[in-house]
Amino acid sequence: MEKKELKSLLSEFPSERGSLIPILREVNETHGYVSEEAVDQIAEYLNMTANQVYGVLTFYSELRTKPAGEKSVKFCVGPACYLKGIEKIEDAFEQELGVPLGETTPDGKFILVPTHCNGTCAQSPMLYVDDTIYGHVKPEDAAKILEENKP
Amino acid sequence: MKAFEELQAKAKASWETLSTSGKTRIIVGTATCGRAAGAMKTLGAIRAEVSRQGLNAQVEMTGCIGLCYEEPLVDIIKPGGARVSYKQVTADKVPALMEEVLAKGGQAADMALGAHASDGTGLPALFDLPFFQGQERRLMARCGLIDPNNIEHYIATGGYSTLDKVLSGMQPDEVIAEVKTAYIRGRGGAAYPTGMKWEQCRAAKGYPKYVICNADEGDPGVFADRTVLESDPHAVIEGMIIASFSVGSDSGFIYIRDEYPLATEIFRNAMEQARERGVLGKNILGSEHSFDIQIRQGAGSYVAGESSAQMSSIEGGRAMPRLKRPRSVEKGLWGKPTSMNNVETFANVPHIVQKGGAWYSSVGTEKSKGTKVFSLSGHIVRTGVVEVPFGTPLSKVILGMGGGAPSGRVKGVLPGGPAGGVIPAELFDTPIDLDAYDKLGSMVGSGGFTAFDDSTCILQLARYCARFMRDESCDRCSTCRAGGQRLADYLDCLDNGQGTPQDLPKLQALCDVLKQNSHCGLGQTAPNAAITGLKFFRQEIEDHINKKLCPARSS
Repeated sequence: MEKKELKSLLSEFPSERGSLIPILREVNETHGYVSEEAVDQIAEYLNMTANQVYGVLTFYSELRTKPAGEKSVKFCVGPACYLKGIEKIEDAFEQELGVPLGETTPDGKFILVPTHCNGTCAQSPMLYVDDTIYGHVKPEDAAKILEENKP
Repeated sequence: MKAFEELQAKAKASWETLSTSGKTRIIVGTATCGRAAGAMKTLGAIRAEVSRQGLNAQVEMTGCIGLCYEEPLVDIIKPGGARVSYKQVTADKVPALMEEVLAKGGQAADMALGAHASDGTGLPALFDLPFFQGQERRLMARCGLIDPNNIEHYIATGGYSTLDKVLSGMQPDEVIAEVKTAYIRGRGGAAYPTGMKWEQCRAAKGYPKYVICNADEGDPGVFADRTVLESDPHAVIEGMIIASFSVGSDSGFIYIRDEYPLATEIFRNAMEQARERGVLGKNILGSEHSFDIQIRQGAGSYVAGESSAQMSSIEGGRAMPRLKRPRSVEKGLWGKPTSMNNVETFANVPHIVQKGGAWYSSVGTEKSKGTKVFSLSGHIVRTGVVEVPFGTPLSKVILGMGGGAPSGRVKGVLPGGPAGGVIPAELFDTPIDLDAYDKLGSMVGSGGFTAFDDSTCILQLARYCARFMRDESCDRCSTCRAGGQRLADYLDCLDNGQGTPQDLPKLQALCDVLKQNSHCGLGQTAPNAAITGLKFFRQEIEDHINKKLCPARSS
């Protein structure tokens, strides 16, 4: 990551502790994850220790410390999706890609992650590929969905 | 107040133009639920069709009326005609619908869900649908009918007139008295009386004071707040400003969860429009009162819905709850007096102050007043959002409005996500009431019912809930951190047929420890599903142990 680039990102936020989560969200979104160098720079900017920043960073499930796959397949963990069989769909994707939930494929193309419920339960069971919602998914759809979204 | 009268006159004029322009209005429901069903593609197809055929029509967007199961929903209003809702209008059905209704002047009765007013068309009345029977739509009155991205729609339909009334001569104590008379209790789950909270915050010493709107709606399966935020955001802003006036605050936050990007976008836009018109910011509507709001987005944490955890998150920390003395009204955000309320609580405030606390409390039960918005999900025919008075029997909501399970029988519901315990079908006659549900070992929670049918194994469901709560524990206290894991293990063991009769008292004891000794509400409610499972479905759990049989899966 270019140090300069992060510097200009940081300058958009007030240099106070309350900016920490907005900054982490922004870095996570624009860089795909929050690197160790980024943690150091954020800590310096906010006058915190790197440990303090890291403690916050690792608390929130949407903030990443490792690069994500090019595409994220996100499975809803809500009860409606659970009742309608999301676990079987997760199994199908894990088999198709050969990696367990939470991990990136060796070629870096896909990451499988659980995600919180966004309340579109009328479409359950549902998953996202990045921001695209797939509703009423069946286990046999796994191969097709992955093919459609091949980076 | 002159400033407001001008705003209102202008808004009403442009609102009336909508029906006098001679154009057909085509309105697409584009809340998150609609978009998940393809509403944006439908919107694009309609726009393309309007320009291709050169139709005299204007295309608009609205929020969600609650009929999520029929999305994408498209409303058509012909000049002088009634508003008609069309169901499941995916993009491929757009040309046929437009041809039939606009070009040929027909009704497309096969796609029509209903007409909003009887106009002699012979279409069924929308609000006569079973889904609406027994609803009392106060907060939902504008949802799905106005454009949430247009402040004038809100003002033209009576919005911000309560704020004007408050700032034109009411005293903070009068407002608080009205809210106390209403006896509205917090809608986020804890059910603390809002008027008392405001009174305490007003009395607390310190500056600045903060007003926070908790829009973290973390309970999975619950989307009542999202619906209000995406469909009628100004109601929340108006409620927050009235709260700020009452407690003496000039600075507010709204904490919206990461999973609600559209709600965040709509709310941000609503705030900008309110600022442009002097409704939000310095000297609101020309008065002495100033108040502004900052948005904070979550980053993926369930426990951030807990009030003190949320304040820690706004301060830039881990979302970990702290002990409740001192209380937030005395020492909250950055150690200053803070009044935090839920989205739905704020949205109720303009109604209460406009029509009076007595009007508000005229519906409901003895200690649960007013209405409550509930989302319906799971094994249910009509997934969506309803608003009912407290005291409504659960059966009316689940079986009447929701239409029961698509296959078989509803076995029970999870109220308020994995933390709310289970309520079996046998108790569906119980009126919805904050205290009655607590006595069942369950809770009304933040406002959602997830139904499950007879094919659902109660042990697996309880294990799902336990695992969710374990994963979301902040891990500060060992009771919740280790106990949550132990609970999930126990339920796993019982489900695998490895349980013995001695395990049940041990499981019960573990649940009691979690409930009594956990630091915050997360750990305390983590065993609710297991506790209510043991209480209401004991035979089924004993069959797993004694007969090595799962009645749900073998039937």
